[in-house]
Amino acid sequence: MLSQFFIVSSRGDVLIYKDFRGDGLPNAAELFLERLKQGKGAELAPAEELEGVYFMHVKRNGLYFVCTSRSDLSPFATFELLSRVSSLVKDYCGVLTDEGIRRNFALVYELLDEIIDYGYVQTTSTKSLKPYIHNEAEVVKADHLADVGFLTFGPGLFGTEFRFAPSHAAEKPIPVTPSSQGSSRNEVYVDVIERMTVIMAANGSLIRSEVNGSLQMKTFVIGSPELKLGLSEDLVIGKTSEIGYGTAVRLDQAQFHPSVDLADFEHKRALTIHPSEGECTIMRYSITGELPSRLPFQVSAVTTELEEKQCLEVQLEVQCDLPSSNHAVDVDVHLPVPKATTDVIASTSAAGQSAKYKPQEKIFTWTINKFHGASKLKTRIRIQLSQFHRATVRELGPVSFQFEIKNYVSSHLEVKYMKLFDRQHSYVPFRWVRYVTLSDSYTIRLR
Amino acid sequence: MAYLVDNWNEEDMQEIRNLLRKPTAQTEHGELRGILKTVLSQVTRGLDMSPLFTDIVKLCATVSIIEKKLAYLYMTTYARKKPDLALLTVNTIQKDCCDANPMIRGLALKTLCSLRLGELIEYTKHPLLAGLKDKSVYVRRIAVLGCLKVHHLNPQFSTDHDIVNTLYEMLRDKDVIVITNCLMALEELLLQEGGVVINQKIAHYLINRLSDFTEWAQCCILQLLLKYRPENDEETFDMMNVLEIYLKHTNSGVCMAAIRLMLHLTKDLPDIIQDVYKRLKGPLVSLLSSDRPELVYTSLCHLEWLNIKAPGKLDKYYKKFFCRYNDPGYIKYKKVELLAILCTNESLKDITEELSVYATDVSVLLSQFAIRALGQLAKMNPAFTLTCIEAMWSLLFLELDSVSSEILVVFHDILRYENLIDYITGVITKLPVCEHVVQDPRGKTALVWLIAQHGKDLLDAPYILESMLDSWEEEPSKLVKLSLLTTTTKLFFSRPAECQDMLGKVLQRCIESSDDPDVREKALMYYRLLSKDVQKARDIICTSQPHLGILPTDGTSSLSSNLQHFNSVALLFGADKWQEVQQSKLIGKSKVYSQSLHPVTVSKPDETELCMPETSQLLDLNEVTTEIRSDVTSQVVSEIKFAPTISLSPEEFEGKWMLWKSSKQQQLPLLESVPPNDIQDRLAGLGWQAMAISPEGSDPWKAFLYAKEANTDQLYLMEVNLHSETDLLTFDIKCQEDQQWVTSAVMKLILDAVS
Repeated sequence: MLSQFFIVSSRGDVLIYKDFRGDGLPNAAELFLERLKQGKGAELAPAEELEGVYFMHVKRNGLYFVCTSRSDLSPFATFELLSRVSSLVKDYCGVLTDEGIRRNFALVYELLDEIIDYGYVQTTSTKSLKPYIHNEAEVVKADHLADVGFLTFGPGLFGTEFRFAPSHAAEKPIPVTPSSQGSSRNEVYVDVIERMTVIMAANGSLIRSEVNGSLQMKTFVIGSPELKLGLSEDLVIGKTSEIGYGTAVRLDQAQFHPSVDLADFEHKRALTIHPSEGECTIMRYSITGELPSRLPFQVSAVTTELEEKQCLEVQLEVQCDLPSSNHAVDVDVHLPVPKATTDVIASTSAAGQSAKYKPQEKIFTWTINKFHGASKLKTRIRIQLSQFHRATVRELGPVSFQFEIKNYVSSHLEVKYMKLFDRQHSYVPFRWVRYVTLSDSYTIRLR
Repeated sequence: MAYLVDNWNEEDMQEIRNLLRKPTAQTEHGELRGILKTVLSQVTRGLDMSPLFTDIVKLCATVSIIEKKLAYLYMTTYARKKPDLALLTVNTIQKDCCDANPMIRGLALKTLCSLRLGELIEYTKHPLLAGLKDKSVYVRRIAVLGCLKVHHLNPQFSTDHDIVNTLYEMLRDKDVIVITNCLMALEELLLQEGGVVINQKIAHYLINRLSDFTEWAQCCILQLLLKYRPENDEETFDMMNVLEIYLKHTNSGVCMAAIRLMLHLTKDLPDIIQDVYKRLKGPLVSLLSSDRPELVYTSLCHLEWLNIKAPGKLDKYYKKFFCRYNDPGYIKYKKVELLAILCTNESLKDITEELSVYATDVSVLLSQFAIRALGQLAKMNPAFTLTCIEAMWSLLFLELDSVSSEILVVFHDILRYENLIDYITGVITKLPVCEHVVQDPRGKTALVWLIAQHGKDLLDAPYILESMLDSWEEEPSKLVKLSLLTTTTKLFFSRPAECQDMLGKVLQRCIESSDDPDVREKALMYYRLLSKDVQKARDIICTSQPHLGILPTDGTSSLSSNLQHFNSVALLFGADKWQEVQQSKLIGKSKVYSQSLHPVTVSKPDETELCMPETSQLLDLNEVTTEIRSDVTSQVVSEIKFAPTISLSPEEFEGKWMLWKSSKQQQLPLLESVPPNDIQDRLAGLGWQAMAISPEGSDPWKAFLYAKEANTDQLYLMEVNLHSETDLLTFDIKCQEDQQWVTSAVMKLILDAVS
């Protein structure tokens, strides 16, 4: 059982503090903050023991969700619970930020009260929590990075119209009362999100590649309609299954949310869901080894040593191998530079590009706001060194990428249709689908 | 709004008070809500808002549920500070407990039980008992846990109202959360007797309905089922079949709880448990690609455990353990450690290459971990040695201070192993290159040490030392100075001609101008030794080091031997840290223990002394090892005393004996034969009563005994065996799990008595 729960921000403020049993340390939150400070910016291990009490935490969006206990907890269940609490907070507040929680702290306390009683978890499903939550969320606008639009099937009868919704459309709290959102629209958002992990050797050969995908659904609907989600018909799951020629969508393994009915999956590749309000991961899947499409980025670097000037010149060329109709946004190319570096000068003059050097971390970052598929970009950087010796060049790299690619997933998994059936209500909700590929850890070595 | 300022003072408090007292405040909900929120946000920030108690207490009567919740939240925070004022609200709360709206009934009941005030139990009684029978599930859920809350305030309550039986009855409730809460409450209420009883009926009922429960309840129930022992293999397999589907659960908490139960069920079936290990691999490995780093870390720790339990199963997944650049530090370090453990001949090349990349990482800590892993590999398996040593050589070539230093430290640690002897010369020839690179004191010390040990084969050794000695004055580290002194002396013995002059200078410098007493003392000692007899000094100072064979490489065996650590925090801490944690918890607990018992125990020490007259002759007490620190033990021993008469039915004894784990076992070789009756009498004198005893003359002689500790009312069970042939006396003590830390002391008492 848990004895306390609290949320602290990275800045060191206690945002929420709840004592369930009164048997914990009275200064638990301060102790935890103290421990954070001792780490001097290094990530704190998720389980700690302080003064005979176990502290376990998850870090989400720069916020620490911490619980304490005197008894031996199951770490898996505890981390799952803390993650769930963080996503519930996000569902109810709309966003997961310092400010969002500060403004809605009464709501968060109300939630916690219903989720956990005397250290025992009661319920965490949005549906069963909803009747007991009365505070309404104050909406806080999150500063959003990329505008990845939602593509809709449209409210029309035949799902032929296409529309776009702004990317933050789904970032709203779930309504507490039907009237609170005005003429509350029924909306269902589905995100196909793939995170890519790649390690590539200097000669271009793959050391490791992996795609982890998920189908995230966020619903704002009245009642409990039945939802049918059709995936690509040629979907094959499993590494061993025979694959014919080329085009089939192949996933190595997939996991479904327990509430998903898979009766139609075998033949029609359709999932039947009774969605509850809020966010929910209906499917997780992964592909390891050879990926079905080309990797989005390749790098080549040419380094010239100018010993007499005590500097290195690096010509960095990045090639984007996406289809020309797609593009990546907010591409950050990180290049670690030698420890002896005093300054880095970059010659990126083009619009929509910028360069930055962080002297403490010795990392040079080249940012490209929009990178079109099937194109190449170059930059030339000069690294000034305090001392020069032959090993300096070997300290360069590896290059790592951060990016977001909209309307593109490398598995080619598609949501073909989404149908809602509701016996009580006759309405056609808005249904939106979005595809995003994100970098998880995309690294290319230079030597 | 003035009261939103950061600095909060008496004036602001007054302002709030005025706002609260304004007659309109009671009616205009929006405004009132704003004020309450402000107050509560200050509470969260750690400011003391208790002066407003009187004003807020009045608000509890409000009709709006939001305000009510906020006011009640405030109450639960400060009620203990103002118990007399809290009494004022009781009326309102009691009224709310009878409200038509179940939500308000529940809220009021929850608040009433959470005030943590002993004085209020009288008022809590009726609403609580009514709540247990309420028609709304919401109220029943709260009432069940409410019983537990009140029980902790005053245990008398639960016995007075027969709560235990009521809760057992309520296990038939139709709501799964009510059932879960009942189980959890019973588990705590009956802590002394080993928690809620899981008999076959309950076990089957729970396991068959398991899918109806919430995922969190499933975790708890799977944990409770660990107490159940199926009657035969068939039943075990039936249970395993039901558990099967939970292995695919998306909540890893459920999945792992199910696996733990499977491991528990099959612990006596060695073939099948291997199969469970195989099944366990899948979920753990797939968790490695989770986007939640905390779960990745937990699964890494469990994979480490699994690899000890079922070695070799994970080797082919080694690429999963390659670091991602955005992994948090704690994950990277763990992955590097695991890479070193999982290495095989096939993966050796990939892994050493990968580790070499980490060795030059921006993070110095990661680089140190990677280099240490290379060293670990080199000493672990002779087949890996060459590749790893070469990898480290090419890293030395980079001439980076931190990297070279760490490599030298690693060499310093591993060159003593047999399989590395052939490489010593190779390593030594690389030393001159390092001399000007290494600045880190640890690296320098290691470098100097390497020269001392193997310098006789290195032509340049005196010159390296000389150049290091030249910067003696600038050297801040005492460690480096000390090892320079030793090394110069040692090198002098192997190459006197080149070093005599140097040694003279060093000794003079240390003795005359060193501020540090340690350095001066050591130099003086060398000087005295050398001036007495050079040959003898050599014998004393230059001792040869024995070469070590390859050691079995597991530091975690103590954790892995135990199934119960699976899915527990213990694995996250690792063996060493876990032991530390346990010890610090012990000390903390025994402090509480001794404080609370102090007034009662005055004359105990004498008694224990009386019990041990012939100890030294009869027994070898060196055998008596205690797990906890000696000072703690002696403190506790002095306070343990067994109640003179207690009674226990054979059924109860048997039930507990099966349920409890053995917490302490001890063997005692007797120096001369003792009749079994004598042993029994001595134990009886201590307060141990016999449940069953084998007739005298049987071999081995067996006795089952029980006793109750007088101060804590804890029950202890013991099995005594006497093998007449070997004169070996064995004890096996069982007690409740949370009392195990005392058993060492109990055992000591017994040993003292028997001897």
